[in-house]
Amino acid sequence: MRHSKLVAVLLMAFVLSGCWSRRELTEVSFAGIMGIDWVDGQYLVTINVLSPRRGGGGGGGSEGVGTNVSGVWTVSQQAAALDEAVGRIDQILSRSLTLAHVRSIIYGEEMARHGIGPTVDYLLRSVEVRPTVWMGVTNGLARDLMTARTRQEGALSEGPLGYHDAAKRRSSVSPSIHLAEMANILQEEGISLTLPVFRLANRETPKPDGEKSPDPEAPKEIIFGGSGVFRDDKLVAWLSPDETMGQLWVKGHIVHGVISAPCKDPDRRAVFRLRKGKGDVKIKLVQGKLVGEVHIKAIADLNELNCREPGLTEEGAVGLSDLLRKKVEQQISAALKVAQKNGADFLGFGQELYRRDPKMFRKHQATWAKELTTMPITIHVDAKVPRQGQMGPRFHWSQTTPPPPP
Amino acid sequence: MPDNPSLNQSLEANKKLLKQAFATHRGMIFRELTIPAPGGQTRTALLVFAEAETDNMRLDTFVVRPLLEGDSPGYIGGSLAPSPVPMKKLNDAIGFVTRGKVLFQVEGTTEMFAVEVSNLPHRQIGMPETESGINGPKEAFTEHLIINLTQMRRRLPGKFLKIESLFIGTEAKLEAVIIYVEGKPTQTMIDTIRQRLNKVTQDGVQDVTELAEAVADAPLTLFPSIMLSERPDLVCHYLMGGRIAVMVENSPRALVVPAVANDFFTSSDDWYEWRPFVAFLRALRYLAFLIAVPLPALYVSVTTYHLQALPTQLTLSLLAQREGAPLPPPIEALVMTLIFEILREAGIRLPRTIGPTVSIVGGLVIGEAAIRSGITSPAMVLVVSATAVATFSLPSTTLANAATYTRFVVLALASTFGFFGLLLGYLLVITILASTTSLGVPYETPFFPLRPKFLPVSFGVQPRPPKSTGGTPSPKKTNQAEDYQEG
Repeated sequence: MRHSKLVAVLLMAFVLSGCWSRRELTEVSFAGIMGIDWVDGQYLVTINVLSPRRGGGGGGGSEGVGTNVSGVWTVSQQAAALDEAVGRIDQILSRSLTLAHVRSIIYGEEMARHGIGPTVDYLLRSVEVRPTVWMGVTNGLARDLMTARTRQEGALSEGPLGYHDAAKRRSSVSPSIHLAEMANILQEEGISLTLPVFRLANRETPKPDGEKSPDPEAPKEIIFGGSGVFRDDKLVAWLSPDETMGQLWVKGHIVHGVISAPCKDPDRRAVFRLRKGKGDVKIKLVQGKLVGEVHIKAIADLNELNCREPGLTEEGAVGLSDLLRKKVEQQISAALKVAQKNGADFLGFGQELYRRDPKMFRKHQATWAKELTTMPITIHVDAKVPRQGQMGPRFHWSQTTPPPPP
Repeated sequence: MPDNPSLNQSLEANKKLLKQAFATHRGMIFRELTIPAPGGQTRTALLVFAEAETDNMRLDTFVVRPLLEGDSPGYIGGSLAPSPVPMKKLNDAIGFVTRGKVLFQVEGTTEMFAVEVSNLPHRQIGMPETESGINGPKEAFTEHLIINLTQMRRRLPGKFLKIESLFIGTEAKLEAVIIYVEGKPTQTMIDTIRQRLNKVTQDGVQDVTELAEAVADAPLTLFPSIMLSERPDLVCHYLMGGRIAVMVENSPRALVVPAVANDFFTSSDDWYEWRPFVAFLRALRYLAFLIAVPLPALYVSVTTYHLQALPTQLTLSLLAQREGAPLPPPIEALVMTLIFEILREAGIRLPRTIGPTVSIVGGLVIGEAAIRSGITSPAMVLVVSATAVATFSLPSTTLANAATYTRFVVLALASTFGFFGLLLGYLLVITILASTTSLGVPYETPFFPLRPKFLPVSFGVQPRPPKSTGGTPSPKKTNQAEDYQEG
């Protein structure tokens, strides 16, 4: 018995792993970002291979010690299946490719419109791809986004990752979603997927003659904001950053960020910094018809006020919260409009109905997308502006209209 | 002639026996005195002593003068201040003389006596060297057993400190003492120690560490199950906690049993520091041990088998450093760890003036040169240095040694099998720890078996009880683990 246990342990030792299955750090290429496009009826996979700065560390000299990512090599291959394309990339690289450090996967627009379901199958099967990979979509080819030279980062190696995190921390202009969450939403009843959007924009550089025109050679900007709306696994619409905020209010995903509300004078603004947002979706049966309700609680601090209007001073928190309430309502109704127009239930009314009454949801399931388009939905926003942000003595100024130009 | 003839003979016969016995002993003095006898007569008295080990003044005051002034040999308790001890056997007598006692016999009697007049050269009480601390007493044991016992008695005055004496060895019998506080350790424990010491057949035990194997439950254990201390104050703390100390003559350290794993994470200052801070330090030392054993193995596993286990930034940073490194990580780790051990070994025995030079040459020059020449990566140097620092922070050198060879085993396992090997190494260590006992007390007490009562004390967070409630001895317990008390 004692011996059999020992034999079992040794056997495990030799079967589970061992010298032959080792992959040393220097024998591996690390993929940082993966882009998936749909081109000519095939998958076009683009991978940003991360490479540390040459000559750093062991290579020679102490000045390179501890350097991080700088160089990125972008490789693309096209094939009928994702794994095939990845395999072809592996053949190009001198070191074996690992997807274990992929931190972000970005779909091209065509791919997203064609349907991302099959790609999720591959990504979930892969033992290397982490379920916590950030997902995103772009409005052109993912490859173009990944080969872009930006000013902030040397390349896109770490950029989108930073944006993803920032989305939660900083701006609330885009949803942030992991592979595992995405797969769950795709399988769940009564909810549609939205992915954060990365857009590539040519930076406008002034030309000598004073005209502004896109310069193809100039470094590009990657604009992060808004979201792509999916019905089932297909992209159907885009949400602007403002509409995305509306969506995030409803989902309760607003954490931080700035919201700018117009005063009565539409050129002037009251700007709030968000402190807390809570959203709730309800669905009720009123006289045999389904009616949706959205309840929002918004708390924000006043950051900037460049209008002076009656009832709208630092003391007049009522007026300020009215402005905030109107703005939030407007954002939500804009998001609702997109949802209803496309029959994409990314606000989760169907999900709520399913949770309340699965049998009733089953009755409506087949026609849900259509029903959503006509469903009456009311928005209730409870907005508060507890702090006006003045710590020192108040600064007085009066709003005057500038004199007309001579 | 029998091996150990009787000394209950006439003066001449005894003299002959002793002459024979000391034939090849340099510096043995046989001196005959003519002393007055009752009735105005004279007779001869024989004094035998070792020249170097005897204090002439005391010899003169306590033995020669009283004899010359007519004290009869039957005066025991008279003017001979250190009481004479009657000698029965030759070997005992030889042992006494070589320890600086004087033997004397008066003509016409058949009894030989020994009187303490020794003047053995010994070191003065000094500062503790291996257990130096910031707070607390600064005395250390010396090689002189009597002085050591004095230090103990002074710290624990009263009748409850028990000191049992016994002689170990077959030929060269040396005195050993078992010290304990009455009523604290169980009688079984004391008896076990006595039996084990009586079984020692080794002649000429020079240091108490030589008794470690005899006293331990198992002769060869990976982790130390016996505590050694050169500080009388610490030993007294342990005695009050129910431990038993063993000392032998000529050894400046006491051996304390039972000792459990937690004791080796205790430093001498722990007794005198602010207790919450002690708890923090104790936790820190445990952490240091957890770094000292598996860190190189962890590094090798991560860079060789489990590339996905680290954050991307760290992976790339490691990759940048490892670019162009000629040796695979397992070999690199082995070589670097070995070099570190050699450096350590080189530094230990060097005089204090040269020691720092070796550290500078070893640590800075070799390390820097190895990185610059691309033989090793900075991360590897960092790993080895962190391991070294963690090892040095362990308060017990025996524990540090245990950590060192465990590290090599775990490294070999991790190099071959990755995390699985690391896990295997952990299991191995835990199995060994769980099967070790010290005088019947499980080694991982109070954690396994769990003794919640002692847990806070083990982490040093419980304030010491303000006062003893009385001298009631603790009731007899059945479980040996229950006997364990925080030292």
